[in-house]
Amino acid sequence: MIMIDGSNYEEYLVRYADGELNAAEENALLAFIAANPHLEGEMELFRQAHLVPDETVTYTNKRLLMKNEPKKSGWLPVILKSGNMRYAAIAASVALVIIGFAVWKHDQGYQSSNIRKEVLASRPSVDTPKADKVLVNPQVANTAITNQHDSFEKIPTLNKHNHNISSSSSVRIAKTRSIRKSVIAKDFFTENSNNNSQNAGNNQTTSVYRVANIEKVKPSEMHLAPAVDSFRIAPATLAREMPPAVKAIPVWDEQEFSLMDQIRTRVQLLSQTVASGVSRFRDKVDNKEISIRF
Amino acid sequence: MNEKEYNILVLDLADRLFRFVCKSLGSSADADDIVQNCFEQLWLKRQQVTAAKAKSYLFTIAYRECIDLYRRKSRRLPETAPGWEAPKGIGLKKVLDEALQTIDEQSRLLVLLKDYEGYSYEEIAHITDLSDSQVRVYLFRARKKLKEYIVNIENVI
Repeated sequence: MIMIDGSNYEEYLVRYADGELNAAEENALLAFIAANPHLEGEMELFRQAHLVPDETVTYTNKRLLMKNEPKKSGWLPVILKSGNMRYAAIAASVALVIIGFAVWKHDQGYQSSNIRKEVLASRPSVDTPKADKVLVNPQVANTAITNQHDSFEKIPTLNKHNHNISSSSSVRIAKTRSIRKSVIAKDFFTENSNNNSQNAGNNQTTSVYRVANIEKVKPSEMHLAPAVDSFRIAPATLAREMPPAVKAIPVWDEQEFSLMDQIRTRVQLLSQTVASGVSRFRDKVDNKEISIRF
Repeated sequence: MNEKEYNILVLDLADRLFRFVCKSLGSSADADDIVQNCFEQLWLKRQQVTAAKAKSYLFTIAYRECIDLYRRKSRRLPETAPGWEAPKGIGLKKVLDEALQTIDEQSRLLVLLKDYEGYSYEEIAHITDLSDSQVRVYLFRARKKLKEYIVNIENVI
């Protein structure tokens, strides 16, 4: 039981003004004041006897009290710890993965080309008596070229009338490794020519086709047989006849080329996005729109 | 407490600590020295004092520094401000500022801790190393004196 009377009411008034009374004490005091209304003025005076801080008074030497924080400079921590730059880093990682995939795909294309060459080279060669010289019908040969998608080169015509080569004359070509590959291709045309020769009714053709784009054949590797009658092909001519191209063509279909174009376009867009994001972030840092804390 | 937390405390509490000391001593120069000393000690004790306890630590040091300064100078303000005359229409804030100088230093510091910083009696007892009953008595005497001062001024006006 809280007893408030004339001997202690001021203490309760002070504690009430300071907010230090509990609920029971407050109720008891308010009841006492209600019973003694002439004390309300005194309660108001105690309430007014409180100081209010002057906010205009400030301490002006705060900078002297502050300590230097360890500096963390450099763009790397800024990039790694910035929320915006996290996305840029992720985008850059994705771009690297895409580029790596593109390079891998490109290499795979070259490997496929090489495998194809090896398969051609590993096929058993068919040595036919007339395999050294291939006489085909140009129309048939052209058709075969179109169907097989291989690259062949038409070499200058060896016309017997112009060069005095008899129909039985042949240019024996030594079976070097390079030539063996060409022989394989020759077989195909030989067959075609044989199949069509009867229809053509003429074994003597005016054009000779030779496999190209397989390997470079050096003129020194070409050996002219002594059976050549009254005609020798100058080494320079042979060099001109043999295609110097060694370049292997990647075996990519249209779908792969289309995919590569899409990848290239997306990588370019991604790099532009990353660059613009970094530029905007640096501008904001320079303009102090973004504060970086570590 | 690291450098960053310490600097934040400087920015947040330096003004409040300065007002408290300046109002207690009535001298901005003395208050400046005490504020510097408080933060210097806080910095030296930064390994032991957490940021949450830093405010109480600062006001404890400031309170002790004020008491020491009072004792060193043996400076006791007169019961009433010398030559002060209450002008008509003066505001309550001005009257209270003057009335504050009429009470003893110990009570003045407690009143300022209560009114400026809003500490409870228990917290004030912890900061000043006094008992709860002592704090209650000091504050009761101070409030009663402030009230009487206000009444006398009203009588004059």
